[in-house]
Parts: sequence; structure tokens; C-alpha cells
Amino acid sequence: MSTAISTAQTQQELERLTQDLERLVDEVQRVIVGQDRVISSVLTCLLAGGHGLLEGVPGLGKTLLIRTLAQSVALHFSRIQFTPDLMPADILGTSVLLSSETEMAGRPMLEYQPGPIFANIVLADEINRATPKTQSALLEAMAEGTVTAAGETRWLPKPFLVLATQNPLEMEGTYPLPEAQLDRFLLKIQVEFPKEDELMAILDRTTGLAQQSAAPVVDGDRILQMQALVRAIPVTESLTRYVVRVLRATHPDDARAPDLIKRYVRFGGSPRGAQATLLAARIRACMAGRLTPSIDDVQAVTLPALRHRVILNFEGEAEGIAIDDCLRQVLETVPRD
Amino acid sequence: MTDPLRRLLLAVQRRQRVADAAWGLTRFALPCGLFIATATTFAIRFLDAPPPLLWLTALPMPVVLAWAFVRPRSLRSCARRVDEHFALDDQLGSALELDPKAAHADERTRHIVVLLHEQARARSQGLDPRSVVAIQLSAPRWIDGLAVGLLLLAAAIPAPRPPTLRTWMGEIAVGPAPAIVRKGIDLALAEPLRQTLESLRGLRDPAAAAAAEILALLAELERGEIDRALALAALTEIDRELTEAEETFEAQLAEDPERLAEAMHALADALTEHELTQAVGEALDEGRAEDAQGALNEAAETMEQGSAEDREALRQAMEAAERSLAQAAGDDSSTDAELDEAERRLRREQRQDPQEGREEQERRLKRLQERVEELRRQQEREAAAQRRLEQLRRDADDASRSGSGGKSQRRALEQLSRGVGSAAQQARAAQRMRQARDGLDEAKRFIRRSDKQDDASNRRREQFRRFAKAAQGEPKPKPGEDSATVLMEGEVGDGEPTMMMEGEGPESGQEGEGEPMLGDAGTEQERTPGGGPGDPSPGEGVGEGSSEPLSEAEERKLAVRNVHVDARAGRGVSRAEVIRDSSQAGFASEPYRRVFNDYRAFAQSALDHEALPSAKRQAVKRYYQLIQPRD
Repeated sequence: MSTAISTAQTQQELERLTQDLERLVDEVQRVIVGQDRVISSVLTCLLAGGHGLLEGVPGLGKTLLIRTLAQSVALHFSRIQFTPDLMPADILGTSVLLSSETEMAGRPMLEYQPGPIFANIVLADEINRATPKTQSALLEAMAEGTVTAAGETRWLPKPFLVLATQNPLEMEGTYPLPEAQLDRFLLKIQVEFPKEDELMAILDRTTGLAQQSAAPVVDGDRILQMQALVRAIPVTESLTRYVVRVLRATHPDDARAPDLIKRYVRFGGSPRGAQATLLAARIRACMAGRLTPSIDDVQAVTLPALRHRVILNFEGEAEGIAIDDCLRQVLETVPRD
Repeated sequence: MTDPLRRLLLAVQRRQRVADAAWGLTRFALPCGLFIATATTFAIRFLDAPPPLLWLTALPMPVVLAWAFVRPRSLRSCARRVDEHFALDDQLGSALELDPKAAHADERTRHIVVLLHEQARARSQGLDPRSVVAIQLSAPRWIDGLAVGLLLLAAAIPAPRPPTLRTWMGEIAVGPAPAIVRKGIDLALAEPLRQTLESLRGLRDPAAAAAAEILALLAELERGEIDRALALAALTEIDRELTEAEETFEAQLAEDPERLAEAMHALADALTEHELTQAVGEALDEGRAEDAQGALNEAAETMEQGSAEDREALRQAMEAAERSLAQAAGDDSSTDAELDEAERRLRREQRQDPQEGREEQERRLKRLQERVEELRRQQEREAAAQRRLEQLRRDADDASRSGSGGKSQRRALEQLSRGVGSAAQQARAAQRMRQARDGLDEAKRFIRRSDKQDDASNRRREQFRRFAKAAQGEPKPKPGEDSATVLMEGEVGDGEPTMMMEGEGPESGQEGEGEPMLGDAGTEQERTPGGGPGDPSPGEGVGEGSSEPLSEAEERKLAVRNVHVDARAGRGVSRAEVIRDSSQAGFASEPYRRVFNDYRAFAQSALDHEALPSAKRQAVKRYYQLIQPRD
């Protein structure tokens, strides 16, 4: 009997999860027009406890989307505008000399002033404009959820989500993210240019007097509960094997690798890629109100989960090969069974 | 089995097998069965195969059914198919795969699996497996139509009628059966040819093979089993094979067999005169290389064990052999002079501007180059033969020295024996090849003329009369008489119906052009260039410049005289002059092949009726072989 009750409770939790996600999406869409796929991808990062890298030309609402999401979940939000002269201490925080009133025993006192990284949702705007030294300051925070400064390790608040943006057009004066840091991002989300009707709605919504804003619908604790629940979603062995087959097929030395991969790819996806794929597939199934993910879910999240983990070789770069095309060919050729 | 999910999936699995069977039966079993039916029908009707063979037609069906029902098809794949068909996002498949009783790290996971199973069961109750798997038959293809067509064709072709009583009565043959009237060709006149071919058999070489085939062909022709056209076609095939064999033999030839044959005959004559080596000489003369080698070895043993008289006799024989071989090795051939002449002509032709068509000059150049190449090869072979003969001479010289010890003399004799055997064998192989060629040509001629045997003797006499007149020299024809064109009446030929042969004279003050034929052995004075000078008037008799093909120039009894030719501008007989003369006397209407056949027949008759050395016979045959029609 207790099992029946627990099962009912689980069912209720799942239903509540789905409802909360729907409300969250609705709230974000009050401000953001279109970009459904981007919104669901950002929410996937939020529920998976991962980080997202948004790539798109300026003016597509990347910063607004992240700011709106932060408002919707009632979490502490901070924005860091990455520039070439940005220093790690500007992000992580630094120890400052206190004023004379706080002197102890005639000696000045140093106090650690946390940087903007100490927030639940951090927008790292134009992350590729900062120097590699500054970019690497994010590594520990993104991977461990901690910051080590002034000889002391400090925990970042939970949930912690870094959403970075980068502009694919401007290459002058930019520092491409190293592979190790790219691998820390759960998803790389391509922000597409809005469609015609979406553009009409954007103009209508943003050029009038009325300004839309989002209200909080869930809080940080609820987000943490949701993160725990999505990890309890069961996954079949055949699906896990399919994810492994897909990941292995992104390696040029694998027997199942398609021609594009064999010819133009230098390194395939890392195991983090498979973890990201499976986790994102679980969340996608939850968002759709399903109890388990399917192969379709895996295929839907494979591109954002692996596109920044697959590295082209020189020939691929020179030929202008799109990694998305390679991954699509992988999905077409890898057998489902 | 109350689980509706499993019930649904099993139903889908069964339906899938039925669909596979239906598809396989129409796609494979049907056309295969039709093809087998066609084959068995044909076999039964025409090859007397047993009628139960038709059961084979059904063989593809159990094969396809076994494939459809034994082929592994998991429930998981069926579930995936159902999920795809009803857009269930792999819900049924996941429920089938996930075990609700399995332990999980999070209790909620197990609860979700339970929920998944409940959902799957609820969903599967209302699903119809028939819509999941549609049973479809393969659409008709061209191969099905072909199979049906072939079967109808096999059934439509009338079967051979079963033997009737009359047939059996005919076989029993109560009365005399009607004889098959098929008349063969009387080959009595071809008996010499058959004997020649019989003599070629017995060895394992292309000549023997060709001889055997020709003999078999003649036998079939005589029995009337094949007609003349078929025999000629078969001879053409043998001709082709023999030509290939000749080319191969020619390519492998390192020494001139003619030269070796000449030397071996001379050696044979020298050895025959001595009693001790008479057997060697006879064997050499008849071309029996192994016998000659054996006889020479016996002579060596006799010398070793015999008396002083025997050794002296052998010494004298070896001296004679040495002289004979020295003479043979020292003989100059005409090849060097011919090669010089041909190279000179080639150079001159290359320098000359093309006054006629360029194609004509290129053709002439090509011909000359081929001629030069042929003469060079011949020169190399002659040089090689000369070296061989010189070696034999030294061996004979060593063997003849009485002062040398017994062992060294014996060794020299053995070397001589081996060398003579090898040279004789090579000469014999070339001779056999020529004999096979002659036999083949003779067989062709015989078969062609066999339908005109009645006229043959008259024609032969007429030919002899004309050649005799030509040999005596005809008076210069008066104006208006037939002079410029000789009409030769041939018998059977396969060349062009009309062929104009045009002479070509040299420019004014230049030397006339002509190709000396291999086998011509005239002296420099007599080897005047062929083709004649630029005099359009007919020549006298058989002409003066051409060397005699039938024998050596020294042996001819013809009156040789010089003819003064005025140097005039022009190229000899012009086309206009030929046409003018021909308008009065008519064009030469005899194909070269036919004329050639008449000439060769005349020469053959002379060879048959006169005692000539075998080497001279070969020279004549070689000459005609060189000038035979090539097309």
C-alpha cells in the first residue's frame, strides 16, 4: 500500500514538475517572443545544473532571455560584460583593505569582497572577448561550484548557472574558448534569427509604451527539487546504448563513423557529451510530460550537446564544414537498434 | 499471458511473420518457381526427364516460409514498430524493457517505471495490431513477366513426336534401307600429298598437328561427310593456326635453318663417301638428327676399339667433313648485298620529296623498312649459323687429328656429334614447317580444283605450252598485236575480279627500282633492278633483269645480253601509256593470286619431274613463299 501511495506521490511530483516548467516557459514567453527552442534549452541547462553557451549575432535577445529567466525563477542574477582588460579578480572577487574604523590592534584588516560570480545565474556576456586567463577563472566555478580566492575556497550559491554568450561574427580581438572550457558547458545553443511573425510581435511589444516584465513563478529550492527529480527519470538500456553509439560515431576512428566524420573531424565528443545528451533527453521527456525519454529526445538534444565537443581537423576548417552537418549525418547513419 | 502489452506485441510479431511470408512468396518464391517450372517443363518434354521433376516448382515456397517463421524478430523491435506507428514515443518499448521490480538508486525511479507499465498496458488495450503491420504483396516486376513468358514458351514449343511403329519398323529394317546418297571426292590424285603429310606425322610439333588435321579433313572429304566449302573453311582455320606457329617459330629462330640445312647436306655428302661414316651421312641426308648423332657416336666407339685402319678411315672422313663444313661456313650469302641495297634504297626514298601522294610514299617507306628489318634479322641468323658451322668445323678438325690422344679425339667427336645433331634438328624443324605449309596450300588447291578435275589435265598442258613459249622467248609483237597485257587463264581463285598491275620505271638517268627476292642468287651483273627501265615498249621474252628462281644463276642456259636504254625524262610507263596500250590489247584481267598459282604450279611440276638437290627445292619453295599473295 505504501508503494501505491509513493507511486501516486511520484506521479504528482511529475505532474507538478511539468506544470512548473510550463508556467516558467509561459512567463519567459511573456517577454521573449519566439525562440522556443532556445528557451527550452536554457531551461534544460537550469534543470540539469549545467551551463549554457549561447551563440548568436547581436540583437537577438540573448541577454534579455537570461535576465527574464532569472526574474522568473526569483534567483540572484549578475551580469559580467567580458572585455579584454577584465581580470579574474573582477569576476571572482578580491580582498580589500578595510577603513580605519575596522582596524584591529592597529593593523589594517583585509576583507574578501565577492565578485559577480557569486550569483545563482551569471550572464557572461561576450565571453570570448576576455583573455584566456580571465576565461579560465570560470573553470573552477563552472565545474566544482566553488571559488578559491585569497587562499580560501568558497561555495557558490545553489542553483548555480552560467549562461555565456558569444558573437560568431566578430573574430577580431576575440579569444576563442579553449576546448577544456567548452567541455564545461552542457549545451551550446544556437540563437536563430526570428521568423517574420515573431519579428512583427517583437516590434509590437518593444516599441510601445507598455513594457513586459516577468514575475517569479518558482524559487531556488523548487529548482533544486526539480533538478533531483529529473535525474530520477528512468532510461532504458537500449537508449543508453544508442547514446553511446552516437557518441562513438563522432570519433573518426570508429567503425560506424560516417564519411564526414572520418574525413573532417579531429576529435569526437567526450564522455561529458554523452552525459549531457542523456540528461538533456530526460529533461526533454519531462517537459513533454513523458515518463521516459525516447530516441527522438536523444536526437533532438544531440546537436546542442555535442556541437561544441566535436573538433574539426584542418581540412574541415578549411572546407568550411559545419559540425551540425556532421552530427546530422551521424544521427542518420547510427542504427536505432 | 494476460498482459495486454505482451499480447499486443505477440500479435504484431505473428502478423509481421505472415507479412514477411506473403512478401517473400510473391517476391522470390513465385518467380523462382516459375523459372524452375520452365526448366523442368523443358527437361521433361525435350530431355526425357521424369515428370515428378515438376514438384521442384514448389521448392521455393517452403524455403521462404521457413525464412519468414524462423527469422529472429524480437518483441522489442515489434514494440518499437508499434510505438512508431502510433507515435507513442517508445513508451511501449520502454515499458517492455524496464523491469519494475529492479532495484534503483532512487525509489522514485521505480515508481516511474511502475507508472510507465500502467500507462503502457492502458495504451495497448485499444491498439489494433492489423494496422501496425499491413500484409502487402510484392508488385509485379519485369522478372515475373519474364518467368511467365518463358514458362508459356516452354509449354508452347511442340514436343518431339514419340516414336511410332513405323519408326521402329524402319529401324528394324525388314527390307533394304534406303542408302544415304552422298558422294565423296576421289582423292586418288592427292595420294602424294597424303604421303607427304603422313611423313610429317609422328612428332609432337605444329607441323605434325597441322598434317594430322589436314589428313583427317581429307578423309572426311573423301567419305563425303563434309562438303568442299566446309573443308575450305576448315583449311582456312588450319592455315591461321599454322601461321601463328610459323610466326612463333620465326621469332624463336636464332640461326638460319637454310644455311644449316645446306651445310648438313654438304656434310652428309662428304660423310657418305666414307664407309665408316656412311650411316651418319645417310641419316643426315634424310634429316634424322638423332640417328645421325647415334651413328656418329658408334663411329667414335669403333674408332676407339677398332684397328688402326679404322682410325685412319675415320680421320679421313673427319677431314672430309672439316673441308665440307669449312666450305659451308665460308660461303658468302647474298643477304649482305641485299641488305646494303635495301638500306640504300630506303635512304634514297627518305630523301626524296613525295611527288606522288604522301600516302603512297609512306606505304613504300614502310615496305622498305620492313624489308630492311627482315634482311637484318636474316643477316643475324646467317651470322649465327656461320658461327655454329665454324664451331662444328673446329670439332671436326680436332677429331681428324690423328696425333691427338684417344680421349680428346673421342671428346671432339662427341662434341661434333652433339653439334651436328642440334643443327640437323633445327634444320629439320624448319623443313617440317615448310612442308606443312606446302601441304596445306596443296590441299587447298586440290580441293578448289576437285570440281574441275576433268579439265585439269587440259589446262595443265595449256600452261606448260605457254610457259615453254615464254621460256624460248617470243618475237617482239608488231604494232596492233596484243603485247602490253598478258591474259592468263586461271582456274579457281579468290582474288579481285579485275586487277591492273602497273609497272614503274625510274626517272631519267636514274637507276630502275626493284626488289630482289630472297632466293635470287644471281651475280651482280645479272641482278639488275626489277621493274624495268622507263621504256614503255614490251620486253623481250621473259626479261633480263630478274634472276632465275628455279636454280642458281651460274647454271642457267639462257642467253644473257645487255640492252641499251636511252635515258629519258619520265617515270617509265605512264598511266596514260598503260591505258592507251590497254585500249588496244585490253587490261590485265587476271588476279595476281591466280597468276601466282599458275606460276607456282609450273615450278612445282618442274620440281616433281627433275632431279634437283633438296636445298635447291627449298630455295624454290621459299621464293614462292615470299611472293605469294598476302591478302
